[in-house]
Amino acid sequence: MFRSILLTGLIASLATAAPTHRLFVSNEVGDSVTVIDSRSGEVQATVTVGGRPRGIGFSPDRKYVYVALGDDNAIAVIDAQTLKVERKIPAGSDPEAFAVHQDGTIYLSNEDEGLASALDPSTGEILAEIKVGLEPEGVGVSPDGKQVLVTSESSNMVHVISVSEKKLVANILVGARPREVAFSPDGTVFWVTSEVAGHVSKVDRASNKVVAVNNRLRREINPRVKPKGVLLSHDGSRLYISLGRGNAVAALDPDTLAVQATAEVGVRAWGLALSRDGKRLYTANGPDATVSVVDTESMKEVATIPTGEMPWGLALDD
Amino acid sequence: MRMCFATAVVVALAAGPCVAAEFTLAYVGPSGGATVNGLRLGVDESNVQGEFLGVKLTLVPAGGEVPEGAIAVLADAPGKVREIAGRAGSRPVFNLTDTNDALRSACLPNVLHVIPSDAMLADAVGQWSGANPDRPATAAAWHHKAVKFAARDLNRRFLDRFGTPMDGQAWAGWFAARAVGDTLMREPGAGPRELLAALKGADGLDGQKGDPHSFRASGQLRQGLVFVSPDGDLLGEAPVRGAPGGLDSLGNSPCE
Repeated sequence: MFRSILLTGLIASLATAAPTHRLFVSNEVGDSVTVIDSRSGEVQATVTVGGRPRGIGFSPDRKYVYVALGDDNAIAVIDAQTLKVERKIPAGSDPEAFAVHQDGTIYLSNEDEGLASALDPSTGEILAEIKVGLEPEGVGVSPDGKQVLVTSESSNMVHVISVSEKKLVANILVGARPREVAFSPDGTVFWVTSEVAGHVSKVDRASNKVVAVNNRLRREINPRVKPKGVLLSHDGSRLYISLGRGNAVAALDPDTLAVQATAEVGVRAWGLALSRDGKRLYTANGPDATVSVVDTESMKEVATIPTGEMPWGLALDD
Repeated sequence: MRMCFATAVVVALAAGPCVAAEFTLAYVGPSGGATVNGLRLGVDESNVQGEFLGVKLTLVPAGGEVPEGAIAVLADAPGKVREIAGRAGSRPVFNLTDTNDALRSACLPNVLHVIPSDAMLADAVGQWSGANPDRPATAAAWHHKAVKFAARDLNRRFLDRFGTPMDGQAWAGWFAARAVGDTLMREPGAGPRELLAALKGADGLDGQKGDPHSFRASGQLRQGLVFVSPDGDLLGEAPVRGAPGGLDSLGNSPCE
């Protein structure tokens, strides 16, 4: 058994680069990515990346940071170690957000075209374009890799795409302006934030039905709440949501969606990231041009870190 | 309304063409102009949504009589809203143009006012003047250069389609069609009464202006506005940040 653990560790170290402990922040108006050492909280670099960076995430081996450049119609590829922009892959019109499939394919939303696209970053080939609703945004890949979800912000739906068939298999109506999705580790449910409705919904993946909604967030937290980011804690005990102009993050019970705790952070909190040990939650605060660091035990903001202009998304490699 | 078989609805999710529910919206007003263009865009965008769900809307022009099968009436008819409301029976009537305050305080049971009232516009200007006494401004429902809250996307769609910038009248038409559409997607079995009740009860309608929209007891749409300079430039958003009462700091006329 000991040997198998060693072997597993060896394979993991071959497959995945050693963590850089860097927090990467896309700055929508700054056209840059701020690189923060998550251990010290110091800004290490600001990488000029291109027009209107929003969605940000890693290749499966974590060697590369991908950034969706809406105004450049491309995905930028940044080397996570050297911080060099290696290339920009044409990604169709106005890419906003994306999720990276276990096989390396980038599934992305083309906001102004109402499309979801599957992009192979190794060849640059667009493998499929799937028509979805207006202003597609949040993208999620199921843990089994069989389905991709795309929200359409102005059509108020979560679209379910079959990966093998590259076509829609279901369309689920949710509260107004759905923005992000997150899956449970076993893939049986997913959660979706609805920014204008002020809701968080839980959807059963087998039936594609909404099985729980928290529509009381504005009453229970503050009337300015606009849910945007959503992320499940590693142990599955908390669902974190960022609340936009509510200038806060909340921890919800993932099953009942009841509010367990809230923390005040900077203005218009959108992007979220959680440290590997689960102790630090980060938010991207657009007009403040900061990242807030929240201690998840006390649910208090413990630090703020300056970024470029209008930070949008976060990706943490620790 | 034509119903599809349940199995056909499942096919429709993948293939799209089967329509489970069709609705007619009656339009009273001139055949051209910003308001009806906004309506047309709103109906088309509702049908983009409806393609995935098997719901279809059709806009038909109506003259003196409201067509029997129409589920709602959309009126670009200043001075005639009361009369149209009287003829519409239980159907919701959307006032897209008339800003008269008395029409709000009359609290007509089936009228929903999308265009802001005179009192809302005046209160917005008052807030602006209080903060910026040396800079004159007017208030409007929309501005073609607005970018926040996905206004950029909506402005681009309107400009691409009609070649003219989207103004407050166009926004009112667009919003009415989207609000009807989104409500019918959620209740495809609704008749006029159920539609009216659902619209009056909705608290999170999306006007691409950031804050959730809902209807006041007077039937007036609760919404943010924009400030516009004498040269037509976008200056900011109303209510000003921190105004007590939020959206209801703008012309919240009580029922008489």
